[in-house]
Parts: sequence; C-alpha cells; structure tokens
Amino acid sequence: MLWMTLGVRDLLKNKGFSFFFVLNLSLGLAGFIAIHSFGRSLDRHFDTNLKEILTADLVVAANRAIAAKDLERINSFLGNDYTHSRQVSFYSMIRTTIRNQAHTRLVRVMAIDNSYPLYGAFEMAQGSTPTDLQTRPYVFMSTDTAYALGLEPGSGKNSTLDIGEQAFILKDHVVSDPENSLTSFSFAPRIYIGIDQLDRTGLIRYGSRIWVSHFYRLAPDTDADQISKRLKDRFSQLYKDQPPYYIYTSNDVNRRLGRLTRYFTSYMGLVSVVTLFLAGIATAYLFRGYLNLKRKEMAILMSVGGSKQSIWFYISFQLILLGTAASFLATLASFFIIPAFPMIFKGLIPDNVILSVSPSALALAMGLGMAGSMIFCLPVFIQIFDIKPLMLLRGTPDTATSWLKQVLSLLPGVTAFVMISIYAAGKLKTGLVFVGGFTLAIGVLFLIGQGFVQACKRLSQSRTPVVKIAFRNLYRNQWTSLSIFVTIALGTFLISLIPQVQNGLQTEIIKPDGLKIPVFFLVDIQDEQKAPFVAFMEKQDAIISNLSPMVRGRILKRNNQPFHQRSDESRRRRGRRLEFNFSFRETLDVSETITQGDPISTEYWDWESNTPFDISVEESFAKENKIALNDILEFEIQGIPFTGQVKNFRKVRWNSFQPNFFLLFQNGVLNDAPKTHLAAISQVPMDQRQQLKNRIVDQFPNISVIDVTQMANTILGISNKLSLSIRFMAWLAIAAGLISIFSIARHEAWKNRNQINLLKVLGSEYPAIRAITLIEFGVIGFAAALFAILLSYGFSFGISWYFFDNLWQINGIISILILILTTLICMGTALSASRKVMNTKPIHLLTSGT
Amino acid sequence: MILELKQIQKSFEQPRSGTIQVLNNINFSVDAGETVAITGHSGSGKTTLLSLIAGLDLPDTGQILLDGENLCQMKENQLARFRALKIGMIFQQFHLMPHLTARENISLPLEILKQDNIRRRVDEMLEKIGLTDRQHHVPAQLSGGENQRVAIARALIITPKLLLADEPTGNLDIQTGNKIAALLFDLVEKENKTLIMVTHNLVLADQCQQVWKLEQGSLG
Ligand SMILES: Nc1ncnc2c1ncn2[C@@H]1O[C@H](COP(=O)(O)OP(=O)(O)O)[C@@H](O)[C@H]1O
Ligand SMILES: [Mg+2]
Repeated sequence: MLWMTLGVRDLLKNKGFSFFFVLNLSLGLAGFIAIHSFGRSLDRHFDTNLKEILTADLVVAANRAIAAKDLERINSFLGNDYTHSRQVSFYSMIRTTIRNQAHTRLVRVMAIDNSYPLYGAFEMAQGSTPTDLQTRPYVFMSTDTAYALGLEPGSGKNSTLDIGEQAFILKDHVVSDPENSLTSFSFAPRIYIGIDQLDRTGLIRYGSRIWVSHFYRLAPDTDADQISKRLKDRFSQLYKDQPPYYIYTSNDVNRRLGRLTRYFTSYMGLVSVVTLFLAGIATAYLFRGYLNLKRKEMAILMSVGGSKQSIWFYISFQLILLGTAASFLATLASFFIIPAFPMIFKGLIPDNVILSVSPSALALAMGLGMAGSMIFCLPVFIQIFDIKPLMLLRGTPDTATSWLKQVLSLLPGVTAFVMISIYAAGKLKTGLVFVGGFTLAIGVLFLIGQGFVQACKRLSQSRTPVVKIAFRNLYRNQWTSLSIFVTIALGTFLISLIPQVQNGLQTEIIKPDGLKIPVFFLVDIQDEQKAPFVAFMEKQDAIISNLSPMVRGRILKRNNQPFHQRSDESRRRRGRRLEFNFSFRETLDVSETITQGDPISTEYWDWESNTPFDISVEESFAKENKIALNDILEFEIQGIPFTGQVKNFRKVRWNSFQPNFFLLFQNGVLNDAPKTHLAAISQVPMDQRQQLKNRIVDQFPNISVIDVTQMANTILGISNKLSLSIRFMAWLAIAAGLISIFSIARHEAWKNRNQINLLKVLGSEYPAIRAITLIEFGVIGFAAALFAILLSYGFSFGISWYFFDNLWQINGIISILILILTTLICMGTALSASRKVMNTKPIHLLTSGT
Repeated sequence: MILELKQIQKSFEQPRSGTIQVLNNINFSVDAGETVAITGHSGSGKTTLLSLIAGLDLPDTGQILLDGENLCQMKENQLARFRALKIGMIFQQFHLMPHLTARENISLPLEILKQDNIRRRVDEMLEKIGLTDRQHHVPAQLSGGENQRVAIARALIITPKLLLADEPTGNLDIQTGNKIAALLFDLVEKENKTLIMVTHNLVLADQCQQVWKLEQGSLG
C-alpha cells in the first residue's frame, strides 16, 4: 500500500512526464485499437449477414447454362425440403432516349425469378416484387442509377430503356437490394429484369459472358457444407477432375469476405504498428528521463530499508498505472477515429455495418497498454537493478548495464513487435516481410545516422563556439542523437513515401508514358461481327488500337499430370478457375514484354502436324501454376484436345487497359475455334465519345462498351481512399515522433542544465544558448528528413519498378515542404521543451544540490 | 563492542592509473555509545571506509562485524534489512525525498519497515529536532540546516545502534553547521547511540571521543 501511494503521488508530482507518457502511448494504441475494432465490426457484419449476402445456403454457378441432367443430380443431393431460385447475370449496354438525347451505358443485368432472394428481401420504393418483372418487360434499378440515366419510373418515354433488342420500362426504384449488404461498389450499376424476359433481349448467344447461378435454400439444420463437398466430389468424378461448376456455401463466402476484410485492415494495421513502434520508442525515452530523475530517490528508498523487490514493484506499478490510463485514453480516442472509417471506405464496405469498439478491442487495449508500457520500458527498467544506495555517498556513477542484459531486455519488445505485425497483417508471410522491411529501413537509417554522428564530430571542429557546442552535443550524446534521427527519419519516410507512390499510381492510371490508354474497351464482339465492326470503325473518328480474338477453354494437363491436382485442397476451396481465355496476336502489344524464352513462332501451325504449338505464358500465371519453360500443356476447346509447349514468359502491364491474356497461342491454332473478340478503341475526341458509344451500341447491341476513363477514375477514387487512411496513420506516426523529440529535448535540456547555466554564468547571451538548441535539433531534423526523403525516393522507385513498371516521378515541391517543415517542427519542439530549463536562473547552479 | 573491522583491504580499478589501494589493512573496534571522528585529506578513502561499514560496498579482504554479525557474509536482501534496522545514515547532501514533506520523510523508514506507533514516534522526533511547525513543508521549502535536521531525524527514527555521517555539515555554513552538530551530539548522547562521523572540521572532530586520521590507506 505504501508503495502504491508513493507511486501515485510521484506520478502526480511529475505531471509533465505522466501526461506525455500517457498521451504518447495512447496515440500509438489508438490507431491500433480503432483498426482492430473496424476489422472486428466488419467480420461481425459478414458473420451475421452471411445468408443474406449469399441469399441462399448453397449456390451452384457456371458461366453457361447448367445441364438439366446435372440439375437433377444436384436435386437428388438436397433432400425433399428445399427452395430454389435461378439467376442469370451479365454485362450489357443499355440505351435510353431522354429528351431526344440518346445515351448508352454499361450495366450489370440481373435476370431473376420470382423466388429471388431466398434469404433477405428487396426493399422497393413502391412495393413492387420480382413477380412483377416476369410477365412484362419491366426493370428495377436504384434511384441513383435511374437518376444517372435520366429515367423516371412510369410508362412514358422517359421510362423506357433498350436492353438488346427489347424495350424495357422502369417500374420501380430499388431502395435496398439483396446484394447491397455486401458492397455498393461496382464498375457497372445493377438493374433487375425478369428471367422470363431474358430471351427477348436476344443477348444470350454463344460466347456471351453470362453467369448462371442456382440458389438453394435448404431445410433448417441441413449441413450445407457437407452437401457442397459431396456435390463437388460427385462432379469431379463425373467430369474427370474438370467439373464445370462452381459450388459454394455461406461458409465459403465467409472465408472470401474474411480475406477481403483482411486486405482492407491489414495494411492499415501495419501502419498502425509503425505508429505503435514510434510511440514505444518515445515512451521508453520519456521513461528513461523519468528514471534518471528517480535514480537518487530509489537509492534513498533502498538506504532506508526498501528492498529491490519493493522498488521494482513501485516502478512497475507506476508503469501499469500509466499504461492503463493510456489504454483508456486510446479507447476513448478510437471512439472518435472509428466513425471515420465508413467515410474513408464509403462504397467499399457495406453501408449498414454497425461499427463499435468491441470487447476484444478493449481487452487488447488494456493488454497492450499495460504490457506495452512494461515491454517498451524494459530496456530502461532493468537499470533499476543496478541502482545501489552507495551512489548516495559517491554521486552518480556510470552504472553500465551488462551487454547481455541489455540485449535480453530488448527481446520481449522485439518478440511483441513481430507478433503484433503478424497479427496486424493477418498473415504470417506478410507480417514477416513487413518486419523484415521495417528492420531493413531502421537498419539503413541507423547506419546513415552513424555517418551523421561522425559528420557532427568533424563539424564540431568549428571555430564558432555556438556551432562547436551544438555539434559536440550531437556526437557526444551519440545514442540519443541516433534515436532521434531514426525516429524522425522513419516518420518523415512514411509521410514522404505515400505521396510518392500515389503520384506514380495516378500518373500510371491517367497518362501512362509511351502508352495510349484506350478510351473504350469493347467485349463480346461476335466472330461474324468482326469484319462489319472493323468496317464500321473505319468510318468513325477513332482507331482500333487492339483487336484480339478470345477463345474459352480448359487446361487439362501439364506434362501429362492433371492441371488441377485433386489434392490441391486449399486451391479447391478458394474456388479455382475452371476455364481460361486464350488468344493470338501477330505482334506483342506495347504493354507486353517477353522476360524469358524466345518469341513464339510466327508460322502458321499445322493442325495435322504432331508437333505441339508455341505458347506464351504470362509471368505471374506461370508462377502461380508452377509452369516452367518448355512444359507441355494439354488443352480442350469445345471438346477438341490440343497440345502446346511453353516457349516464353511474358510480363504484362495489366493496368494499361489493353486486352491482355494469360495465354497466347501460335498463329493458326485458334482459327477455327468458336470465339469472340475484344477491342480497344483509342483517340476519340472528348466531345465525340458519347456519340461514338451510342453508334456502336445501336449498330451492335450485344457489344459491351466499357468506358475506360470512367473506370480509371473509379480505381483512382479507391486508391485515394486507401491512401487517405494510410496518410492518417502516418500523421499519427509523426505525432508520436514529435512527442519523442519533445521528451528527448526536454531530457537533454535537463541533462545539460548545468552546462546551460554555466554558459550563462560565463556570460553567454540567452540568444546564443537558444542558438545551440536550435542548431542541434534543427540539424538533426534536417538531416533525418533529408535522408528519409532520399530513402523514400529509393523505396518508391522500387515500388513503381515492381508494381508499375518503372513509372516513377518525384514530387519535388512536396519533398521540399516536408524537409522544411520537419526541420522547423523539430526546432520549435526542442525550443519549447527546453524553454523551462533555459529560463532558470544560474543561481540554481549554486543551490540545487545534485 | 558494537563494531569491529579486521584486516580490511579495499582497492579500485581505475582506467588510467591502474589499481589503487585505498584502504590497507584497517583494524579497529568501536564500543557502544562511543563517538568517532574520521578525518583525512580529500581522496584519502574516508567515504570508502564509511561505505564499507554501512555494508553498501564489500571489502576485498577482511571482516566487518556489526553487533556480532559479519556483514560480508550476508545475502543481499538480508543485508539490506539488517542495515536498515541497525544503521542510520546522514549524508552531506541530505538526500531527502523531494516530493515528501518533512514529516513524511521522517516516517518513511518506519513505514517501509512496517513498524508500530509511527504517528507518536514521528511526533516525538519532530519535537526533538524542533521542526514541529514546519513538518508539512517539502525539502525545497526548507533551508539547508532544516533539511539536514530532517535527515538526522530520519536516521534516528528507526532507533539504530550505529549512526554514520559523511561530512554532515559540509554543505552548510559554519554557524548552521555548528548548530546541526550540536543537535546531533545532543541526540546521540541522550539516546546513547554510537556515531561514526567523517569530517574535515577539526572543531567538530575534537568533540568526538576518538579521532582517527586516514593516511595512505591506514588509520593513524
Ligand atoms: N568506484 C570507484 N572506482 C574507482 N575509484 C574509486 C571509486 N570510489 C572511490 N575511488 C577512489 O578511491 C579514493 C578514495 O575515495 P574516497 O573514499 O571518496 O575519498 P574521500 O572520501 O576521503 O575524499 C579516491 O582516489 C577515489 O578516486
Ligand atoms: Mg568523501
């Protein structure tokens, strides 16, 4: 009790320390807790809404109609008590004429039957039901979509839209549709029609990209996963390991959504780990200063009978108390941070997620707060064991803690860091890669810092006394200088890196160098439409920059082994791809380069010959499927077997928006196969775009026109949202860094107070003394920021080289701004931290008895 | 006999000058109730000797018997408690807890050692040192002399058998120093304590029953 009272009183007496300690630690914890809660909320949302998200217990889907025989087979597995719903969805252009103005737009048509959805429900503005859609050509769409298209519900001209060959009438607004519980984000808005009206559109023909889903709602207590497994086994058997159907249950969906959530939360989680780490360093620093103040008091306590254990308890109690306070503050802060997430991720996450600080987040906060403050402070804490009352007689000797002890004391911190990183990343590998990268960054900064300290030693030869003292301070307090350097550099590095990468991303999406990003991307051009389409385009004010045939087929074997191993359980669960698209081109697109092997033969492959044709495989596809050069692949296209050999690997810039394929075949292989074509249209003047789109759709109603610019903007919007959240976390990191500067500067000033006072006694002017602080921390801030910015250039160059194919741009103004700002903030922080000490009168030198 | 030192040797490793022999074959004994002054020029090893007697440091060789028990053979925690109960220490720089009031500083050892009648004993002690009216002030609000009085009270409160003081008046002006010394001697005499005091002040040293001078590591 005595020790607790003493502990609490001490903390109250050292308000500055307690305040900064708690503020700092809670800053580090807040982001972490907020992200944890966010992830949990999402998970919970998905968990409780699983069936509504899937709208069924079990789904069997395929990119073609499911054979009647197979449907019967499925039914036989389900027992008697089930309900069924069928849905066909596809992308299509719709045409409207509003006030004599023609519009065309890509939409996702959902053809539904009466029983859809089996779970959940439509919420309609005027209470219509799916039954209304079946007998007449009616559509449902959301108010937003209708508004964008200029459509009004009713029966007039302003309610009519053409889908394929059929005119439809907007019947009602969808307030909330079953799919809304997942995400409102989509490249094309959804519109609903009756499945019985589907034939009238004339859009479903060979090669149309459709998606057919059969939903099943099973009797309660039926094990859907069990049925799913048995169905999969049955179809695997029937189709010799090449089942044409995707089968999934709500648990499969849950797993997929879990991955999605993790994707959102993991990278933010990792940034929050950086914040936590910086806050940890600052916390340890604060504690070091505090403990230095306390050394004498602890010696006194020991001299009057306090045992080491009591002292240990006394200090741990303080740490735990502060940690708890920090957890509370962090939890409180996270209440304010969490509501920001739905805003940041609007459109990417379900609209109706209930976000709350979960009990597990609270427990985590408590644990991290208490354990965290202990773990962070441990390297400092162990110095307590070196305190001896002897120092009361001797003054403060340099008690050197043994090397081994210091390393050991870092161990819990390092372990915790690795574990938290893995936890935040949600994946062992990502976590470890992050830890590796982080360690590398710290290591590099540390080495640079070493060089910086050496440079300071040189500079301290200066003749100007103020400069001399400033630089001497920097290199004499090597470790302090180093840790300020690393902390500031790390924060600046993050702040600088984000705009860099984003800059690259934006440049890439908006105007890739040397590449013409197409204006439109056309899919589903039928083979017989190819010639008329080319002729049509010749008359237009635009060019076809790419026209590629596309043939759908399966990969049967690789080097005589089944392409899909049955034992490949994890892949199976993830829902592996059943069919692939193959293409052919005479010359590679600008977005493609061969990375290994020789170009594929330009000779016409003879169907009669027994030699395998040449194949070009996209790099990442090859890696994922363990395909090597010269591998023999066997294919099946429309029931006919083909054999080819891998000739080269190809790198593809997918975000060039050119039609690109995983597999390219030698000339001649695909000539007689049933196919569709993809086209990219470029160089369309801005004011011609809508008209051109309308003309294409008028002429070829089945061709879908994807507006690439619009799509690029959508992607940019997402990337902006994501980077906003990273930036937010990075600012938290900087704040933690500044608090550490503040505490370090304060600690330094306190340590140097005798020097400062001595200077005063010796007649130095106050401005000169202030100049020392300004030079000291200005130099360190400037150097740290400079190297951090240079390092971020290196990193962002690496990132753009790896991800964006060498597209790299420096944003000089932002860099200079960051440099100046960091320097100024460091100087200001240091000055305000040391003001108190600087203003003390030299008389303290005489009276204070230490 | 309350304290006995037998063949004490103590040397230090120094980075530049190598090993220096600070104490060389020290032998002496002190009877209960005796007052002893240790003098010697700066660096002669006075503080070193005192820290050995206090059990704060260990000699290289030799034995230190306090109340019949050998300090050099005790376990750390055992020694700490033994020291706290038997020895009161007074320092040149007072070494009070800065955030505790005079009263709290005095009662601290009693509370740490979980003793009884804390209130009454502290009241009496405050009376003895004449600081009853200033008991609720913290060290920063007290003068040097007052602080040293608090320190003396803190040393005496646990009723130790042996009182050790390292230049207790070194930080005070002559007048205040004399007053403090007078108080110290008064209390030691009244309560029949044993006092070992390191001092430069020869007037002070003369008031002790024995005066030893440390020279070249030996007592003369
Ligand atoms: N921990 C130590 N390490 C090295 N030398 C020490 C240590 N403590 C004391 N000394 C040396 O021992 C000698 C005696 O010191 P001290 O006992 O403090 O002398 P005094 O108190 O008489 O002035 C001095 O030369 C001092 O430098
Ligand atoms: Mg001394």
